[in-house]
Amino acid sequence: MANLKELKNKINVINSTRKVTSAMKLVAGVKLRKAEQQTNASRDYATELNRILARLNQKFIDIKSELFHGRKNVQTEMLIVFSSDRGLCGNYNYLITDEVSQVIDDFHKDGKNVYIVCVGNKAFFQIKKIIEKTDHIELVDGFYNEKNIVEASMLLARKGVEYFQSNVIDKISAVYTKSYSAIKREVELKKLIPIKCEPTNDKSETIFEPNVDEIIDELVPYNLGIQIYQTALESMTSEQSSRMTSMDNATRNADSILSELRITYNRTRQYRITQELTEVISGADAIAEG
Amino acid sequence: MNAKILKLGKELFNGEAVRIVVPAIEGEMCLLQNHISIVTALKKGYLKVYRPMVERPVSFAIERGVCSFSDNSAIFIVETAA
Repeated sequence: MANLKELKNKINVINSTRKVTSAMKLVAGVKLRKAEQQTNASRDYATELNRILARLNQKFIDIKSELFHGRKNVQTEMLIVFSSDRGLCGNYNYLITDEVSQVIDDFHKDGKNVYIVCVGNKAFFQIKKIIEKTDHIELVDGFYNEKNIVEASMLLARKGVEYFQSNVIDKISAVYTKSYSAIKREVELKKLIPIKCEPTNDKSETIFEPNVDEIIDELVPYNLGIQIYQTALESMTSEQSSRMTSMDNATRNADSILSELRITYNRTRQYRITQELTEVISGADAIAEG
Repeated sequence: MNAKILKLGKELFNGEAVRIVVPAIEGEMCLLQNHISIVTALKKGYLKVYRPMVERPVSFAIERGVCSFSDNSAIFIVETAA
């Protein structure tokens, strides 16, 4: 039979863990709703911006069209990997790292290099172990502070376009987790450059002010920044959703362990009482008989 | 014509307009019904939307942005001061 004091201690420890997981679930729920609202609010903005770019794409056919139609020989691809800075979110970071290692393997088989930009250090330390010397990896911060997220996205976008234009990289993609529902999440590879524009039926004569080049120079990094911003928000939504599910499971597990421990505790207590009673009665009998 | 003014995370205006005064990069311009299709960068200034039957315009102070007008539909992607 277990020691009553030990059981009581175990119950107390699991009770405190349960309180922590339950609180984390609530916090993740609030953050999830906030991230969802931000994602929805920026979706319309991103769609309209993309439509404007589609109108430019029709007009724009010189050298910068590489930004829209891509390069034939892709030697180095920039992969922006969105993972988390914190743990306790189930297999969220593991799935990202797993997908990235597969993508990197495919690149290496094709003789290509990767330029990895990690958002969130969980994936950074894992991916660092599997890359080759020809690859490049760096960690960017600022994405997990709500006030800096737009600024950080724009900074990364400007850098990406600059590297693309100076032929350091030939393509930009993002690996992130898309959240379809509270329980369904999938890791996806999203192509950012070449820019994917929805075809437009607008064939009317259009004036571009000041001129197409300047608008492109201004809008392409901005559009990329907005795409990165949206991807970061989607990623944050998935992280919080994953954390909420994990913490919910942890709370349920704590509940079931607590219930088992309480039964064991009560049985032990009952056994002790019965034993003591038996001893008292046997003692009283012995005295009466003596 | 229809006007839609968007800033990141918020729709500032969406509705009918009879006249829109735009702080375009090459000078202030006025968009009216059946204006030629145009895509222009915007500079810091006031974007004024005149609604039907309302004398006073709705004004938005913008930092920069881009305007796209075609088929009597104007879309403004703007950045405003924080």
